[in-house]
Amino acid sequence: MIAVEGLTKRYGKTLAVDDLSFAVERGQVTGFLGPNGAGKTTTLRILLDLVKATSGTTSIDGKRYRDLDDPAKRVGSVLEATNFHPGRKGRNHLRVLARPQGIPDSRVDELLELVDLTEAAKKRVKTYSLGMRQRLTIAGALLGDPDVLILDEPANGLDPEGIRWLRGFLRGLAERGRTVLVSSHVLSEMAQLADRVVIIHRGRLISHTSLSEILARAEGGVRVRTPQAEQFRTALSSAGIESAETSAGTLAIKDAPIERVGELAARNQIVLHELSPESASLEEVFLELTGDAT
Amino acid sequence: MIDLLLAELLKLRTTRMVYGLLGALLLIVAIATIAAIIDQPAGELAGENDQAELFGTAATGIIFVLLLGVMLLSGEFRHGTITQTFLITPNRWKVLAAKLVAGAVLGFVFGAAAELFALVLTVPLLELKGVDFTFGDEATSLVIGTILATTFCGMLGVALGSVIRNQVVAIIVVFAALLIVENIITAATESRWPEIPKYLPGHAIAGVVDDGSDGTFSREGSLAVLGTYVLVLTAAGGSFVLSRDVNSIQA
Repeated sequence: MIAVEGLTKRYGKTLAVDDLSFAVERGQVTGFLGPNGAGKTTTLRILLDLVKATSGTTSIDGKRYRDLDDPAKRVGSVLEATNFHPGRKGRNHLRVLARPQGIPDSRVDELLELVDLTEAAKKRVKTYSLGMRQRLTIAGALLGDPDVLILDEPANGLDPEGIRWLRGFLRGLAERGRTVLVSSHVLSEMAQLADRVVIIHRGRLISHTSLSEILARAEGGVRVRTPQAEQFRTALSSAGIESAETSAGTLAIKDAPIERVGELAARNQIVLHELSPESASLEEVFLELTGDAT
Repeated sequence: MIDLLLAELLKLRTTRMVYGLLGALLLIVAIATIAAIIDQPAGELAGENDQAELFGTAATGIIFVLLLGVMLLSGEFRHGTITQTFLITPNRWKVLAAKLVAGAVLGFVFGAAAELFALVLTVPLLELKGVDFTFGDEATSLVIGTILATTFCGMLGVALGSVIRNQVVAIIVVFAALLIVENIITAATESRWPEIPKYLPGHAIAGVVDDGSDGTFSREGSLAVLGTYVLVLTAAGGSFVLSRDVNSIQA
């Protein structure tokens, strides 16, 4: 379990993390969300003992990161895709990480295979694309076969195919009982990935909930386009359904199943040019939660 | 700890910088040795002391080893690999200790390789000139002194890198300290307080190589001065610089 309690980090006058508390359960994928600058990276770096907290504590399985035996074997970290010596070959990069942990080269080759870099590993990292670097970083994080995986914005700079690969990969890890904490500033990245989400804004906790609850918020109403807008609104309101005319001839209808809206239109002989479900985008929900909605 | 040291040596072995600088050092040794032997008449190469001088060029390696030692740490900050290093070994003193030992090993290898190369060139070249080669006391002392100096300078580089995380600044400081600051302090003090320059790093390095020449301590004394620099810089770097937050390099 990952626990963050009353965490505060101040950089001079800037409050990067402000009395933040949350806990991440084992065997789940937790999305760690917030706009850029919300304090996600700082929180993760404090959790990994790279940055000192001003106050508050963090722990993994009840211990501080630095007090874990072989911490990198317990917790794999993917922080940024730029942590390479450009002149070092991909395989050697992993060997350098494996050596101090007493991990054999055979495991290095296994992971290169897993992230599909076996051939590329003979080349220097400076020739790699961002996606390849990200995969190499992930391979490095998995060297010690850790139970917990912490990823900071792993989708940054990846193309859609890369993001899909990453999503499937992380889901696969969670299905094998691993705990995954993955940060992102894009809520939709989490849509098919996270079980739960921790949302922070300006260093403070906004919401810690299941993803399905967030998705439910995004469920919207029905959109109707009709030349008989006034007539239809009357019909709807006599059926007890609220509607609003968002622009000439376009109605937004809340709290009614789309089937019922269609049936009402037919019964009242209303001509429809459009009848479609409308949902707020995940990003709108996200913006609403983080209070930046306009 | 052994794994940690091996990892540091692996880091050195898997970049080209080390091979480039080692190649450059051996090239300098080759040119200097060959030129000295070809240039001088056989009579001036016959004495033990004349032959000992042929082992002096290897000391050029000192500057290379200092630079590589600096890069052992500052290079990791530059490329951001320090993040992973600290994630694997959160105890930063352990990382620093491993790097110091790696710096010493590196320095030893550079010094020994350069001297061995000088020997391999000197023996047959002298033979071609019809001069008998004797590996006398002075040569022995110079070779030992050079290897000691490169070994200590490997550590000194690491210690300096622990205080100055920025690689470019650290390298500039190495050159400025040895070539400019040291000369200014020496010029300002040597007539009135001749003891002061002996405590400067460049003088200490020279004292180790030559076993106490003019204006330096003996080899032991000079080693003690260099060792003190290493300890003080390491303690300062480990306490005040390496303990700082490691943020992402984009930030």
